[in-house]
Amino acid sequence: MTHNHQTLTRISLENLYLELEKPLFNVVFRYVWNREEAHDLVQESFVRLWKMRDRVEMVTVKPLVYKICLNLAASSLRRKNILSFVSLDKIKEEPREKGQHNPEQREEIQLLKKVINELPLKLKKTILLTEFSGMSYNEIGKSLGIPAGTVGSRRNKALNILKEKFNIIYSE
Amino acid sequence: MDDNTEFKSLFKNYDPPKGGIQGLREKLDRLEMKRPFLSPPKIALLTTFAVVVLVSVALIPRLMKPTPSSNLFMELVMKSENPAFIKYGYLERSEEAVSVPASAKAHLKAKRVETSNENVKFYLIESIE
Repeated sequence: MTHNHQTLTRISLENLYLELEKPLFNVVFRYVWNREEAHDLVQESFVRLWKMRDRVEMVTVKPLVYKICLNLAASSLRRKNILSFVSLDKIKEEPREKGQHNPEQREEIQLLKKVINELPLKLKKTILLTEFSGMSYNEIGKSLGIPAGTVGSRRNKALNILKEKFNIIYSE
Repeated sequence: MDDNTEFKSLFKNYDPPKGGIQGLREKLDRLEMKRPFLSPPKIALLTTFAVVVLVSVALIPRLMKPTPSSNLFMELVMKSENPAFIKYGYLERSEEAVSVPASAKAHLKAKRVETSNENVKFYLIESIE
C-alpha cells in the first residue's frame, strides 16, 4: 500500500491502521504482555497521530507511528513499575486472559516474556521492530533516533543473546 | 535467522483482537465531538478581550467620579455666598443691590479655586476688612 498523500486524511489514517495494526500489535504486545492493553495502545497511537495530522509528513508516517506506539508502551510500563513500587504488595502478575490463548500458546508466551524481557531496552526495541514492523533499517532508525547501521548491529547483538537464552532454556 | 523452528516461534505473529478498526473509528468520532468550538489561540484572545472589557468597566466609573479636589470645591461653593457662583446656578440670584465702595477695591483679595474643568476658572473674592 502506498501513502503518497501530502496530508493525512481520515481515510488514509484508517488505511494505515489496517496495514499496521497487526505488526504494531505484535511489537507492543511484547512490551506489555497483555492483548487488550496492546490493542488499546495501538489504537491510541493512531488517535495521537490524528491529533498531530497537520504536522505529519506522509513519507515518514510509519516510523512516526511506531515511535508514538513505543513511547506509549514505555510510559505504560513505567506507570506499572511505579505502581508496583509504591504498592506494599508484591508485583502482581498480569491476569491470564482466558479464552484468548490456548494453554500451549500461554506457555509459549510465558517463555517469550521471560526471554525478551531480559533483553536491554534498546536491543528489545530494535529486535521487535526489525522482526515485526516490516520497515527498513533506515525507517527503524528514524523511529528510534539512531543510524541505520546501528539498527543492524543492535539486531545482531539481540539475536545472539536471544539464541543463547533460548538454547539454555531448551537444554534445561 | 536461525533455522531452528523453536527459535523462530520467538517471533510468531499473533492476531490482534477483532474490531480494531471499528474501535479506532469510535475513538476518532468521540475526539471530533469533543473538539472545542474555539481553538486555544481564539480562547486566549477572547479571554484577553474579556479581561480588558471588565477592567475598563470597573475603572471608568472610578475615573469619572469627581476628584477629591472638585468635591472640596463643591463644598466650598455650597458654603460660600460669593456672588461669582450665581452665574453657574450654584447660588440663587439675589435681587438685593450690592455696591462696593471704591475705597474697598484696594482691600479685596482674589483666590484662584481649582476646578475639574480647565476651561472654567473661579476666583474667590473677599474683602480683607
